[in-house]
Amino acid sequence: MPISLEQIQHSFLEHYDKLFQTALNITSECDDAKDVIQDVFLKIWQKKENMDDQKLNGGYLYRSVVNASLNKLQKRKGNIQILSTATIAIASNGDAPDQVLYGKELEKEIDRAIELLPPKCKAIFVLSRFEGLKYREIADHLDVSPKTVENQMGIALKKLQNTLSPYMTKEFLAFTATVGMSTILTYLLSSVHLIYIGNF
Amino acid sequence: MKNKPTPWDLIAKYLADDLDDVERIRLQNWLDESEDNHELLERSSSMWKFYYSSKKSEKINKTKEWNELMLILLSKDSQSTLRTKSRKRLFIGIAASVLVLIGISLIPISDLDNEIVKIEPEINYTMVVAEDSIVLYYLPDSSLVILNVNSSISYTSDFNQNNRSVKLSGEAFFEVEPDTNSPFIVQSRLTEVKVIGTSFNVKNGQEHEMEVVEVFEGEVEFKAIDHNENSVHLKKGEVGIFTDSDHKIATDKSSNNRPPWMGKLVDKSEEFLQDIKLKIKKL
Repeated sequence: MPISLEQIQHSFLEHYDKLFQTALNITSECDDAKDVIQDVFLKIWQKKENMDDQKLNGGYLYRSVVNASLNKLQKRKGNIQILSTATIAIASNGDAPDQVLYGKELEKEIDRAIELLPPKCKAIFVLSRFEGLKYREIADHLDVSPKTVENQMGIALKKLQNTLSPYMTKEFLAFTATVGMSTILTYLLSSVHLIYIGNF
Repeated sequence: MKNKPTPWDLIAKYLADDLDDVERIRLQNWLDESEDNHELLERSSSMWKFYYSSKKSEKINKTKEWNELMLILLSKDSQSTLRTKSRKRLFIGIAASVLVLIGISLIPISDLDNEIVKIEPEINYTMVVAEDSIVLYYLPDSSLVILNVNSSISYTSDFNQNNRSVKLSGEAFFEVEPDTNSPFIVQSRLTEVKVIGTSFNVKNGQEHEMEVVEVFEGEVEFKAIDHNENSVHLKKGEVGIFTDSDHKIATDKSSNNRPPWMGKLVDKSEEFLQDIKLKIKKL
């Protein structure tokens, strides 16, 4: 039974916010995320004569968007591996960063580190950490084996650790151990760029 | 002593809360091996909490996104009826993006951002959309429209018969062919400009608080659409500003020869425009 424009409109408006956020999480680019959503709905439109309206439900659309986002990311990044910027900084200065980074600065570093992950690895990491999917669900959406998900998550964690560990000093760990998540978020939101905490 | 590799995949599973019992035991064994391992887990745990903070968010207007998508979907459908009017159209810029939909049943709206485009059967419209470049377009009566970026106009198939009426979203400069039998009208979301003379610029803002007309040549009548009494006569060198909040039209003097954004077109002088118009007419 053919799908109508009204049905597509309804589905689009109902699910857009969630789908866009997912596409943005994976691609990290607003324009790419918008393109992804457009492409997904355009494909549905092009097959509308023979399409089952199941294809317009949230679960199916989500899966399509996840995969389309990964494709977009792969096209954009190719297989180029970029050196970690933190590594470069350390190599040239010879010293480890001697300031404890909080707030926006750390966010930026984390952002950069996540961007350095290879596309599939990043997508898997994002689905786990940002989208809250279980490994089984990730494997299902991306049509890969659970083992792949496990391996890639391990790789992601290891790479992120390497990139960010210079910033993760004893002071920082002590700080995060003693405060709850909401306090951490408050710190992040209060636009404090740099705090140096003395000896504990 | 050989250093055993760090079980990153186990740690990741632990942080993502996806461990089964067997794996839990394996992790515990690894932790028991050394104090360093404990520290590593703690570090990873802290970082894991922080990763979430780098999640991006953007404010998106989904109505606007839908309207854009709908134009694309409908244009894909109507490939066979897409006709180009290349004889009377001139593009400026490397990638002029003009979508001319002919024979599509839709009501053109002057507010792509906030109103969902509605569909009505049996009405034919032509819609000209400038995306990221400035577009010159000749209407069926040879009046010239120059659309600024992110602007669009539309008109019905009976343009030039009883009336010459266009709907505008965004900003455009008009050079109107004189025709006393058929008044030229530009409708924006809130206001209407009736042309008595020749060239003027109409602008409606994103926030839809103000709509502005600046007259360069000739005269216009400027009024709010839902307040018919509130009509103002503007002459060359005058600017009319309609404010939505108090529904009033204020007037001002302007000494511009043309709207500032048109300066972007390489040295657009009056003669150049005239020159093009003449060339087109000869085709």
